[in-house]
Amino acid sequence: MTNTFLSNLGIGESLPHQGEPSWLAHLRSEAASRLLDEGLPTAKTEAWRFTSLRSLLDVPFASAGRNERNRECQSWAEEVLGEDDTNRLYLVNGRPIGFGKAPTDIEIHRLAQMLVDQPEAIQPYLARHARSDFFGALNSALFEDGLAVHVHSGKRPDKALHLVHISDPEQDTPTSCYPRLLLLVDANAEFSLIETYLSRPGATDLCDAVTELIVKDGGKLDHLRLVLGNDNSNHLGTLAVHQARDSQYTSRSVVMGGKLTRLEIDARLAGPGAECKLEGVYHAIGKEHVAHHTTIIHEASNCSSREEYRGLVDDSAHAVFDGIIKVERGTTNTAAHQQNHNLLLSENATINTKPHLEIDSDDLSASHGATVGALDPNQLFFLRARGIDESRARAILTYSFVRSILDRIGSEPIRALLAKRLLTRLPNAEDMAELAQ
Amino acid sequence: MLTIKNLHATADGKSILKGINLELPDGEVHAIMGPNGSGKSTLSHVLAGRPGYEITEGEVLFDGLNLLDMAPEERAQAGVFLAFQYPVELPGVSNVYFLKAALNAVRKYRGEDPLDAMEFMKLAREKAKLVELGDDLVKRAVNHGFSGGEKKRNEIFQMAMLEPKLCILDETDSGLDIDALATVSKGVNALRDAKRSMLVITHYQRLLDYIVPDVVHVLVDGKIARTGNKELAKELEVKGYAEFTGRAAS
Repeated sequence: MTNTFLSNLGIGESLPHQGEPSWLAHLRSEAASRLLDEGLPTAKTEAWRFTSLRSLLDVPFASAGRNERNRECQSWAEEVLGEDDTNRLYLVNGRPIGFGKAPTDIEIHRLAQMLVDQPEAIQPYLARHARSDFFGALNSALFEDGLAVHVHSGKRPDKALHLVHISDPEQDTPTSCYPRLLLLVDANAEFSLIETYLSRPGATDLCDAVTELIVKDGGKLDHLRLVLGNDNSNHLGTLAVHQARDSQYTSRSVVMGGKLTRLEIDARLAGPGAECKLEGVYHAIGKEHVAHHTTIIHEASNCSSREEYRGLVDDSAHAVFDGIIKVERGTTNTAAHQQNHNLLLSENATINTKPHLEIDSDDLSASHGATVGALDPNQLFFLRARGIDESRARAILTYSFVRSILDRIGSEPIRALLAKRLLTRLPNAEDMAELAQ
Repeated sequence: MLTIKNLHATADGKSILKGINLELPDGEVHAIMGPNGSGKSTLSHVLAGRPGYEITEGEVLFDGLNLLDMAPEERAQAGVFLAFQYPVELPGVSNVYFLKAALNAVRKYRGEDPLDAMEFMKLAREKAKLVELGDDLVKRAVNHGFSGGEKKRNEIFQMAMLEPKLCILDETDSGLDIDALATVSKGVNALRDAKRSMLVITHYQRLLDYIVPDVVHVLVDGKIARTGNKELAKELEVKGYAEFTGRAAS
């Protein structure tokens, strides 16, 4: 079974990627061997206990080739997202489709081109930080293109870079794609990155994305990652950030739509004084499955991490939060706080939450906590006693459960987009746009 | 306005209201007093439609409507307003949004057009003055981080905005100092009207010095034990409820 899945994807064949350096060929073949040796994760694999891949195993995925629909995809995405105040760059099935006006202070390269032209600039970073678990390894073995972005030291571009990823499956053939981003934020630079993952309607699609972020001394990176999928889309995202001395990183993950979404987020606080915030909002309806697996490693002293994920789970959907914070031996003056709060909106919905700390130091302040609850009957009655219909009262309370995090998103048009998307996914929530103001 | 006939209600299988009869005419203010546990708050909850109670006997007519058959939101739209003893906090929901949604739901029921943002804010500013609620409190999340007094003033502000026919004030005086009590009462009195009736539920006579009732009912063990004029409240203040409960005043 596993090998059919892998051979459908092209693992096990020799994979000629013309002109690539030998270290990359070696990296790819190592990844492929690991996949063949270890096979697909099953329910017995602890980290995959709550996420079943069964629905993907029998699907004969083919890697998405180039197609003639780039313009069409871009127009469709523009329609879905509306306008915002960012510098957008569109990618179809992981391949950039044009660079528009290049923002100053940063370099943006096609990853494929970079690997031919300046592989030595990429080698120290590529696949050094991302997890090489199943989907990370699959991407390493199969990615064809992506982006390499470099924000030069001390630079502070005023607009966010918004990478709009569009999975564009064929109508009749299940399709997979392997987007990859390598971002280097140099010393004392400040940058804002948005990654949006959309899927066009069509056959089943599998998007296996790897994002590697390196933030050097004193650098600041604000990162928003949106997964706005549909009933056919499966999103497996591997995200790794490596933080040097006094760097600051904020990750906000918003998942609203997609049959299966699983994000593995790893933050390594490698230099003293680094600060890391991981936040997220997920809304799962129908039979959707959304899982966040986060790991924060405190390797250095005087670092702080704060984590808060809030989830809404309705119908027969399933959400998973599995967060771990490791504080390594010898570190001092650490602050590590982790929260996961969930609203269970249906008797058939499932939530698994597993916050934990692994602490090997005694000089720290740390806390963790998780809650799973239903809508508060007192709040519901209060709204109804003022004349507000029950369905609308539910929608108001559901939205207000996650808005503290959505409100922290810097871009007003994107905040409004997400509020609108959430409200349209709630039952009977028409005419609620004002709630977001 | 409101007719309660032989109302019996239970909660968790325990009998709480045991045959209440009450007639509240248009424009009158009736106080319901009684010792703790007599069923005062239950009566207010049952009238507003709070889930968790079972009506075992009796009926309630509100302007000819069978109130007990209506959902809480329908009662509110038809003009029943409950000022909560413990106003609920709604983090993430602004007072403005909440009230606009409520007001437009009520207006829709009355066959009136919804107010737009400008009209709404104008009205809100005017009504907020009644209870001296500042602009910041009007815009903040509903009751979130409000003091006890601010929450109660916010309740009366909502009442002023929604212009109900029947106001039920459930222990509105609880937790208020004397200045806040005066402010809240001033707001309530400004809303007294020949077409608006009020049911003022309280344990203490103190509130009735500010909101002077036409009639006072004493509720004991789920029934109205005595009905009188405002002097009855003063008598209770002196003697306590011992006469009705058979226990010494606490």
